[in-house]
Amino acid sequence: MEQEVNASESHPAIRIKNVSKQFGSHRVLDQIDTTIEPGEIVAFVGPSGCGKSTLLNCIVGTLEPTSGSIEVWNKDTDQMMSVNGPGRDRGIVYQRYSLFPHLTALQNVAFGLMLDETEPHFRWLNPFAWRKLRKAHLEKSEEILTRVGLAKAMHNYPTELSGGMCQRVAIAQALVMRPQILLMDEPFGALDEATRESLQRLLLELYHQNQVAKEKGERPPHTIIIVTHEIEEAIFVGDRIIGLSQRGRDGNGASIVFDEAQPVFKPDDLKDSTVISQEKSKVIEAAFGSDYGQDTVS
Amino acid sequence: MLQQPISRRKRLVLQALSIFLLLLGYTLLSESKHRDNPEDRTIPTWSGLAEGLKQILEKPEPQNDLLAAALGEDVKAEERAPMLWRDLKATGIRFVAGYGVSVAGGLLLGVLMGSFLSLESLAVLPLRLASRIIPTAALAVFFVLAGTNLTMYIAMIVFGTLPAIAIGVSQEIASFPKELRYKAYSLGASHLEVIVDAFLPVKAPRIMEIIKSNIGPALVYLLAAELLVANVGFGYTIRLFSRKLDMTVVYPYLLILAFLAFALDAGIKILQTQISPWSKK
Repeated sequence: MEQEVNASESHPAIRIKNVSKQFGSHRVLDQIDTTIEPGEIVAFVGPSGCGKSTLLNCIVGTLEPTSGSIEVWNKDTDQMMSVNGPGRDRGIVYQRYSLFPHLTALQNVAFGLMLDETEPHFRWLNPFAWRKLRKAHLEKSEEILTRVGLAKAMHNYPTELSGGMCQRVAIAQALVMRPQILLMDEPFGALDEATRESLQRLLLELYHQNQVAKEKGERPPHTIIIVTHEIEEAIFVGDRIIGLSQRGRDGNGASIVFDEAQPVFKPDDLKDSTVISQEKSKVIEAAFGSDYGQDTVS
Repeated sequence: MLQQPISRRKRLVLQALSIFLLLLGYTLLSESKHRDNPEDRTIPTWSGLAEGLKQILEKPEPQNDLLAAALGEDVKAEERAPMLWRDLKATGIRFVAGYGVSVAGGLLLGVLMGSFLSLESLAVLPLRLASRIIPTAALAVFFVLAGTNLTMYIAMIVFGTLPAIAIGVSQEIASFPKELRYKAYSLGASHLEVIVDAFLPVKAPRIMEIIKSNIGPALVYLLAAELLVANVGFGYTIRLFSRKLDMTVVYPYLLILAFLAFALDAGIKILQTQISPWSKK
């Protein structure tokens, strides 16, 4: 395992500078400006259609901001680099279609290592060297799958796995690449309550690893942005919540209406409902408006 | 209720019954024909068919060697082969060459079209047009352009099936989930790797399906061309015996052709499960 560089502490994990996004004449994001530090788990929340997924897609690189820029810290050059399309420094976990259906759980995790470290011609022309490397990839993938609690099902295809297991594999698939940032777009939206909570606790474990690294004076390994419409989820897993809203802006696009540090839960803490509901009312007040409750009922 | 499930056993019994009825019907029909005219060859009796089969499977005598007659020359004794073997070889080579070129070209073009949208825009209309032209009706064009040798058969099959394969494959590649494509890039894939390690294996079952469903049209175009211009091959032999109204050879040939197409289908199905073991589940 490589040691993270201490000198890079001065660089944020990601810098979002005055990002606006417009589809035709429809403005979705307006002058979003924020910085995310390494080791943070930031939750983007807001009413549906507020542009939180659009912002995430701009960070992924599948959408280009109309103006402004997004920079990500690059481990190799120790500099902030502009986002230009999806890249291996930013891992993604989507709600669906995160896994390759033709690969088993284990192969799915090893897939990134293969894509990143080898080229097709190497694999075709040096079968023996490739086989040796492949073995190392599979061992590494096995280790990480065991860590996310999927040791038993690693030789199953995605169609044979439950939704929760698939998302565990997807997280392992992203983590094995040691990305600078892990981007998650409604990752647990399709899961039942119990499965969702166990996956949320998996993220809290990653956050815990960050704390341990910080105590040792290392750069924390996991920076996560999670887009969710579940405010409780945001409070539970995030240590910071960014609320986006277009409310009262006359179609001028969403801006950041809420940005606060959140209470941090430990992986095996109980979900403290008083803490969560207190925070929740604050977030709702800022991002959704006080009439939000009536709005959703109708 | 409609679509009421039936037991496997009942299904098998009914299927056996259908074959039995088919054979029985043929026997009765052929017997009634032969009662009127013992010389009839349009609906041959079983013994007539056996004779035809013998003619197909045995080495022909020099005086009735069809190939020699067709070419107007003597064929040396050792070069003489059973009719079926000779036709199988001629038609087989034409089919494998023609369909091979068509699949390879259609696959390459389809993958490129599915990956590069400007190429797709450029190629899709001409391909659509080509796929609507009936190759059998345009046969004369192929004679003029490619003569009557192997190239003509290849051109015929390629013209008839490549557009459909290319369009089908390109649509499959284009429908690859965009999240998975982003994912592949976020895992460090190069463009080539996205095609070779993501597009192709994920879409392999559908692509095989496209290849399978175009075998039928390819055989139709090949046989049609053979019926018209060949001097060896299934199409040629069928035409020859049809002219003489001699069905003792034609019926077995049709069955053999059907069986070959069936075997090809089954072969591709096996290949499909070999290539994509995950898709069966």
